[in-house]
Amino acid sequence: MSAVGIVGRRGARRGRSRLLRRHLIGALGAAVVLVMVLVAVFAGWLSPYNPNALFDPRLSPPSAQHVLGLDQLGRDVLSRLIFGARVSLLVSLTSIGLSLVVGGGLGLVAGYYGGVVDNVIMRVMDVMFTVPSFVLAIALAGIIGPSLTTVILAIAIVTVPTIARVTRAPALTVRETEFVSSARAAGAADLRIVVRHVLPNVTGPLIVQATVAIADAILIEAGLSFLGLGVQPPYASWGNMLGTGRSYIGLANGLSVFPGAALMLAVLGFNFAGDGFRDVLDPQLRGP
Amino acid sequence: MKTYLPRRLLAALLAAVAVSALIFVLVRLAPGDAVTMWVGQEGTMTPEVRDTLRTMFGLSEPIPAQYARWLGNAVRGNLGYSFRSRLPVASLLGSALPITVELTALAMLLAVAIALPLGIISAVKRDTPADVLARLLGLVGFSMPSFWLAVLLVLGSATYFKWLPALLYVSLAKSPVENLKQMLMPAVSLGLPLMAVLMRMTRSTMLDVLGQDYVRTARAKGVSVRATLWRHALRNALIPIVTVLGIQLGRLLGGAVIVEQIFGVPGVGTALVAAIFQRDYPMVQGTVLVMGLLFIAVQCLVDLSYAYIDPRVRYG
Amino acid sequence: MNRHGEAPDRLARSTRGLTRREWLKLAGAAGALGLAGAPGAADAATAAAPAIKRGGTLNWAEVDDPISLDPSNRINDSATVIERMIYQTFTRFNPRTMAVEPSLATKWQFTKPTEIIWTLRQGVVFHNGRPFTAEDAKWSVDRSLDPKTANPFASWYSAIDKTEVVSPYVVRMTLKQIDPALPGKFATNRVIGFAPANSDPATLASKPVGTGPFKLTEWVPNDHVILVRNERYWERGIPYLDTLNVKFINPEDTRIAGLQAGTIDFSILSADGAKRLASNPNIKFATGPNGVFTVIKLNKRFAPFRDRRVRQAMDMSIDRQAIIDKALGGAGVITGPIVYGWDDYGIPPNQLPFKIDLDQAKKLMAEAGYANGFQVTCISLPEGHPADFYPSIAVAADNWKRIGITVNIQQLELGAWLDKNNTLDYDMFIGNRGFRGDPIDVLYPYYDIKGSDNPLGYSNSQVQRWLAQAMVEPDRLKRRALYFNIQWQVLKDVPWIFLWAPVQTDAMQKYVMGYDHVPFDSFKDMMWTTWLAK
Repeated sequence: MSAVGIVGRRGARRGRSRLLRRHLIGALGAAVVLVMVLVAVFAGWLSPYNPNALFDPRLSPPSAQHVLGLDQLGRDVLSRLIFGARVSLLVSLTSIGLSLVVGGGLGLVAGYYGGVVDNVIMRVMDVMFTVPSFVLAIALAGIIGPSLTTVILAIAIVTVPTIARVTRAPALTVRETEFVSSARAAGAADLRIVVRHVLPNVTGPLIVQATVAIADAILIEAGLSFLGLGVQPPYASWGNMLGTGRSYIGLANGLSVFPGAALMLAVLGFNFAGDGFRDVLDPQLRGP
Repeated sequence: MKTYLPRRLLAALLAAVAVSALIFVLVRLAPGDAVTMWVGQEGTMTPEVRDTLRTMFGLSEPIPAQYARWLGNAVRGNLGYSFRSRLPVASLLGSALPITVELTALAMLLAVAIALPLGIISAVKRDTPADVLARLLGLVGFSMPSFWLAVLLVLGSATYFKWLPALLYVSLAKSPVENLKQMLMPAVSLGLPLMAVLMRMTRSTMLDVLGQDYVRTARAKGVSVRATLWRHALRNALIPIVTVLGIQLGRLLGGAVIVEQIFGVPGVGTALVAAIFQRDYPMVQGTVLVMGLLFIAVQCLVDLSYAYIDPRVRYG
Repeated sequence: MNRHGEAPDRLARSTRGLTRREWLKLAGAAGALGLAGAPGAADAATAAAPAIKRGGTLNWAEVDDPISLDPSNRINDSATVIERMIYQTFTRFNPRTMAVEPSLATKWQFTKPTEIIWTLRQGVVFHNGRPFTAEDAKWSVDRSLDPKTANPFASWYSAIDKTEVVSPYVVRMTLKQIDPALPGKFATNRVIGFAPANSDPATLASKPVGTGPFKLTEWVPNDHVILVRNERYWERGIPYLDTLNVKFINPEDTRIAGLQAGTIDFSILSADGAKRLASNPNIKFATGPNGVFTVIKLNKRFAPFRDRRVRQAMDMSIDRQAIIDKALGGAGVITGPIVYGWDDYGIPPNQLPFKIDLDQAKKLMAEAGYANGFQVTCISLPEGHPADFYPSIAVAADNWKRIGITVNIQQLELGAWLDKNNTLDYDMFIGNRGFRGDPIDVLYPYYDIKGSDNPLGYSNSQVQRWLAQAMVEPDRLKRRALYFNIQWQVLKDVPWIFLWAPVQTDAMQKYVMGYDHVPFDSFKDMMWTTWLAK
C-alpha cells in the first residue's frame, strides 16, 4: 500500500493501525445503523408512553417520569424520539429502496442495451438532474400536499438519477466482454446474463451509494419538515420534531437538541457504514 | 470540444423545458388552486368571481394551450405576471436571482477557502491533534442540517453578541461592506456541509499524492517538498474538488431555499417557497425554470473548467 | 351627544380607553403568560406621560409580504395592516374601543332607510398632492364593487345600488335594501380604500396612493416596505414617526433574534415566543384580544351532529381553558359568538354559560342513541401552522374520548384546507371567523338558514326573526339588544363549538412609546401615535 510505502517499518505498524481504525469506524457506523433499526422495529416495546398521549405540564424539563421532558403539547419526548426512529427509517429506507429498484433497473437496462434505449433513459435522467433535488422535493410536496407517501415518493424520485448512473457503468462494461457476447450468441436469456454477470459487479457500489443516499434522505426529510412540507403529525419524525422544537429554543432546548442529535448520529452512522463497506469491498480504494 | 458543448447545452435546455412542463401540469392539478387562495377562508366565491378570476389568471383554457402560450412567451423573455402582485415574473426573479447567485457563490468560496487549507494541513500533519480537530469539524458540518446551523447562528449571535446585520437587504452594488455583513452568516450556514465534503476529499487526494512515486522522485532529486506539493498535488486535487462542487451545487441551491428564509434574504428560494404556498403558478414555473437554467449554466462552467485545469481532458 | 348619538357615559368610556375592570382582565391574561413588563392596570391609570418626541425610524418586522396593495382587493392580513397606513375610507374604528367614528366622512345621515348622505372632510390631500373630493370616493366605491375587479369581499357591500356625486364634498349612496350597518362595514377599511379617481389599477397594486398618515416610498417584494410620514396628513400633529421600515420575516426565531440584538424595534410574537424574551430587560410587551374566534364547524351530512343533544354533549365535555393553556400557551380567552371587547356587543367571558359536566354529557349522548360514542374525521391545518388549530383539536379530541367520541384529525395544507372549507366537503372542520364591520355580519351568515356559512343548516325561527329585525333596525342600541338575544340562543343551540379568541402579543424595545394596546382587529393603527424615546 502506498500509505505504508512512505516511511519504513514504523510506517508499516501505523499503516496496520490505520487499517484497523478504518474498519473500526465502519463497524461503528454499522452498529449505529443496527441500533437504529432495532429501536425502530421494537419501538412499541421500548417506548415508555404512547407518543401522542398528552401530559401536564407542557414544556417540562427532563424528570424521573419523563426522561427527556415533555413537548409543547405535553407529549413525552423520549417516546416521540423512539417512534421518530421508526418514521425516519421508514421514510429513508422505503424511498431509497424504491429508487434502487426503479433507478437500478433503469440504469441496468440503459447500460446493457445501449444505443437508443440508453440515450432515451439518460436524457430522462438528465431532466431530473436539471432541478436541484431539494427544490424538486419541495415543489412536489408543496403541490401534491405533504404526507408520508408524498415525502417517500419525492425523495425516491430525486434519487433515481444518481442510482441509475451507478448501475449503468458496470452494465456497460460487462456488455462488451467476450464472455457475455459469447453467452448471448449461445442464446442465453438476457435476464440470466444480467443476473449472473452484471449484478454481482453492481451490488457493491450500489450498497455504498445506497448508504449515502439514505443519509441524504434523512436530511431531505428533515428539511421538508422544517418547511412544514414533510411528515405530518401524529407521526413523529425527527425532522418535524426539529422543525417545531426550534420555536422553543430558550424555553425547552431538549425539544430540538435531542432530535437534532439523533439526526446527526443517523447521518454519520449510515455514512460510516457505507465507508466501511466500501473498504471491505475494495481495499485498494482510497479511504483514510 | 467544438461539437460537445453545443450538443450538451441543447440537451440540457430540452431537459429544462421538460421539467417546466412537468411543474406546469403538476401545479395546476394541485388541490386548492390560485382562485381558492385568492378568495381565502372568508371571501365569497360567487360564480362570477370565480369565472372572472379564472379568465384573469388564464386558467379557463385547456392545459396544453396554456402551456404553449407560456412557453412561447418564455422564449421571448416574458415569464408572465405573478397572480398575486401582478408584477412581471421576469423582473421579480431578475432582482431575486443575483442575490441567490451571490449567496451560493459566497458559500462555495468560503467552503473552498476553508476546506483546502484544512484538508492539506490534515493530510500533511496526519493523525496529529490538528488533523483530528479538522476531521471532527468535518463530521459535524457534514451531518448537521444547514437550517439548524442557521437557526443556531442567528439566535447565538443575537443572544451572546447582541449583534445581527442590518434589517433591510442592501445590495452588493449599493454597499459591499453592508452586503457582505448580511451575507456572512447565511453563507457560512450554507457552505459548512460543502466544506466538510471538500475537506475530506482534499485530505484523501493529498494523501494519495504524497505517497506517489513522482513525489518521492522529486524529493530524491532534491526539489523542495513545498514546491512539489503546490505544483503537483494541488493541481491533481482540483479535479475532484471541481467535480464535487458540480455535484454538490444542487444541494447548495436546495439548502439556499431554507437558509434564505431564515435570514430574510430576498432571493429565489424565498420567492419559490412563498409562490408554492400561495399557488402563484407563474412564479413557481418561472422560478423552477430559472433555477434549472442556473444549475445547467454552472454545470457547463464546471465542465469547461476541467479542460482548463487538466489539458489532458478531451471532449469528443 | 357623541358620534353615536348616545348618552355621555359611553363617550367618557371611549376617551379613557377600556374600563379599569377590562384592563385588569387583560393584565391578568398578560400576567398568566408570565411576561415581564406587561402593561398592567397601574400603568394605564397613573402613568404621567413623558414628553412626546417627533421623528425617528421604527424597524418593524411583519410576518408575510403583503403581495398586493390594491385598495379594492384585500389579499392577506399583512396587506391590510400596511394598507391601513396608506388608505382611508368614510369611517374607521377607534383603536381602543372599536366604536365607529368619522374618517374621510365627517358626517353621515340616513335620509331614508335606503339612502345615505355622506358629508366629506375638506382640505384632505392625496399622497400625490391631488385634493380629495367626492369624485374619488365615488370612483373607489364603484371600482371595488365592479364585477370585473373580482373582489371576493364585494358581497359585504351588496346593499349598495348607486353612488353619486352631489357636490364636491357630498356623496349620495342609494341602497337596494336596508342596511343600517353599512357605516361599520366601511370602517373595516379592508376592501374599499379611497384612491384618486381614474388611477391605473395595475399601478395602484404596487405604487399605492392614498390619504393615510404614511406613504409608501419603496417596496422590495418578499423583503421590505418603507413608509414615510405624510407631511400633509389631515389629522394635525400625527404621525410622530418619520419612517417605518417594515421587513418581512416569517420565521419567528429570526424576529426574536432581531429583537434581542436591537435590529428590530417591533414585532408580533406568539405567546411562547414572547416567553423566550420574557427575561430580556430591554423588551416590553402589549397584549390584547383579537376579534377573530376559532370554532369547530359541524356539517349536517354527519348524522350525529344533526341532533342538538350530541352537540350539547360535545360542548360540555371539552375543557376550554386547558385547550387555551396547552394549544396557545395561555394566550387566549374563551368566547361566544361575538368576542368581548368589540365595542359593547360581546358577552364577557366570565358570563358565558360554558361548563364541564361529563355525567350530563354522557346522559345526553345516550338519549340521542350514541351511548357508545362514534368516530369522526376533523379537517385541520398542519401542526406547525401559527393559527394553532391542530393543537386545539388535539386537546379537544383527547377530551372527547371521555364520552366515547374518537376524532381522527386529518391535516391538510392551506390550499387543500380552503378547498374543503369552500365546498363543505367535511364532517368536522376547525377554522376561524374574522372580525367584520358590524356584528350583523358575524351573525347572519352563520346562524340564518340562508346564511352563506352555515354548514349545519342551523335554523331557529326566533333567531331568524331577530336577525331580520336587526338588518333593518336603524337604532344602534336596539340592534345591540337583538344581538344579545341571538347570542344567548345560539349558545343554547350549539350550531358549532366555540373555542377561543387569541390574545395577541406585540413585542417592542423599551423606547417604543405610545403603543400600549393591541387593537381588537389587530391592525396597527396605534402606529400613528407611536413615538421613540431615544
